[in-house]
Amino acid sequence: MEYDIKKIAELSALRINAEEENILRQDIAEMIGLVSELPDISVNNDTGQFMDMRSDNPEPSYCKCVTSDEIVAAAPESIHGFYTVPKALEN
Amino acid sequence: MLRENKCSAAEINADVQARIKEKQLNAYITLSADTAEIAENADNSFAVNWDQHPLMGIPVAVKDNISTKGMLTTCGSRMLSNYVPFYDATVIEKLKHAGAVITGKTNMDEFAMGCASDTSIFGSVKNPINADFSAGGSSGGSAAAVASGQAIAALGSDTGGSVRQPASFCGVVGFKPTYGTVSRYGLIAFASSLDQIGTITRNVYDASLLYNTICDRDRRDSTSVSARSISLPNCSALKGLKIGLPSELMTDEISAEVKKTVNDAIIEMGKAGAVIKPISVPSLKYAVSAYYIISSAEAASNLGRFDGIRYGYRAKDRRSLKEMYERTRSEGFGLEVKRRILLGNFVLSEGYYDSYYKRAISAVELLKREISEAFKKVDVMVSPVYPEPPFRLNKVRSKTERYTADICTVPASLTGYPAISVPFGCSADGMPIGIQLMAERFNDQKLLSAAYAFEQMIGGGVDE
Repeated sequence: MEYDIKKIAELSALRINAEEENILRQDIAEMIGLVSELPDISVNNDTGQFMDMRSDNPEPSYCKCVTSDEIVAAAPESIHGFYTVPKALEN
Repeated sequence: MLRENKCSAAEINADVQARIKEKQLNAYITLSADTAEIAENADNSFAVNWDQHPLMGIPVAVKDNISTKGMLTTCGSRMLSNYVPFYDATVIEKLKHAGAVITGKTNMDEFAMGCASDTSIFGSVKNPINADFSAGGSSGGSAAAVASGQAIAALGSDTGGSVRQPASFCGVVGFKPTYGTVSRYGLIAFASSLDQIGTITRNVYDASLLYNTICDRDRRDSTSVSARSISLPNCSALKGLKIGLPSELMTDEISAEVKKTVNDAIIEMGKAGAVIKPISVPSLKYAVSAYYIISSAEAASNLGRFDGIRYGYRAKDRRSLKEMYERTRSEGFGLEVKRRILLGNFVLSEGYYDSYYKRAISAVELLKREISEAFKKVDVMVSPVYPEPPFRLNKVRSKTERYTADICTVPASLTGYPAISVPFGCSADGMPIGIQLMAERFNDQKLLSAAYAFEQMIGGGVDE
């Protein structure tokens, strides 16, 4: 299986150095080999992965949602009801 | 003992704390500071309503990927080494309401990706039976804590066997409930369609008690469903029970010691009146491949949120936003996490989606149908938990060897069915070996009843 480890790393927003590249190239090849064993299975196009819901689902007995006020109150810094994060770039 | 006033919560807590100090297993990443105070408050609670607060004063450990308000939640990763959630996961709210004393956050494989608890930046977890051996993973810290008395019970998360396998390695009970019956709100996601919070306890009774406390439908988790409480089990549950043994999980890949343990367990079940039926589920051979495709694809997506902007680790020395993202992720994630992200993005990338992801989804559908058919003939399936007994911490294995070893646990994860590992045998090294029982979806009651009856029959599950 041909694949470009640098391209996949770029898609993954990862920088890999030369040492990691060697290790990962081998590992990913091994993993792709493992997952390539799957044949093309026909299941009548019914490929949904959702589980059946129970018909006797009552209303949730427990639900306390976090409010935006709580989120902002818990943030290290906030301005006018919005939480702030440190600058990503200084200049 | 607490209910009968034979000991106090403060005494139990002091004993647990002493064991944490005494045995250095690296089971915990963070210890709670206020356990003594909470235990004392539990003792001072006048006339405890045990129905409402069934865990009053009981020390419970929590895996470090479950959010705890005001307490570090690291996922065993540098990426979240400074992350303190401002809210409790639903299961933590429920534990607190039940009166549990949270002892601390337990060590784990980074982002729950692994089977030996050796990919954590905080170091490997040691097995309490023999510190040269692995405690299993990824919930190795929770299993080691319970097995060593450093907690009475623990929560773990199970995506492909991460509760059942470490429980088996440490000689305790690991229960993965039906997918959806326990809220995932506050569980840091690895593979959302497979992730399930489960329990690690010293016996099946405790597993049902803990499950009853944490199960419920939760509007904050769209996949959650209502769950019926377990009314504990009767000892005659094995009589007439039809137990299936899938031939695909007893192949030559399974070590002789583990096979013997499972065969011995079946003989014991037969003696108790269970009817053993050999069965075949051919698509089980696809389970590992499908699991690694789906879980890696979901991990690649879920872990995309860790970019250094909102929380967690942020790389220094960045010249552009793109460089900051990449450096943050490259420095924040360990090698195993990077492998899974890379594989996940590969199988989802253009030109490969049909060959991998779509095939995996079809394989899971086939697996669900075949297992569902099998459950028309049997009540419970029995199998090994892991193909080999606990291995030494420094054992070198190829990636394929590591991943294919998940063959016995991933089917329950892919289908959402409940499964439990119960300790039964012992390896030549003196390490515990568990057996796995699996039931059809929402048959948690039947599963726990069978496991409880089996445990009682073999004289296990004795609490201290």
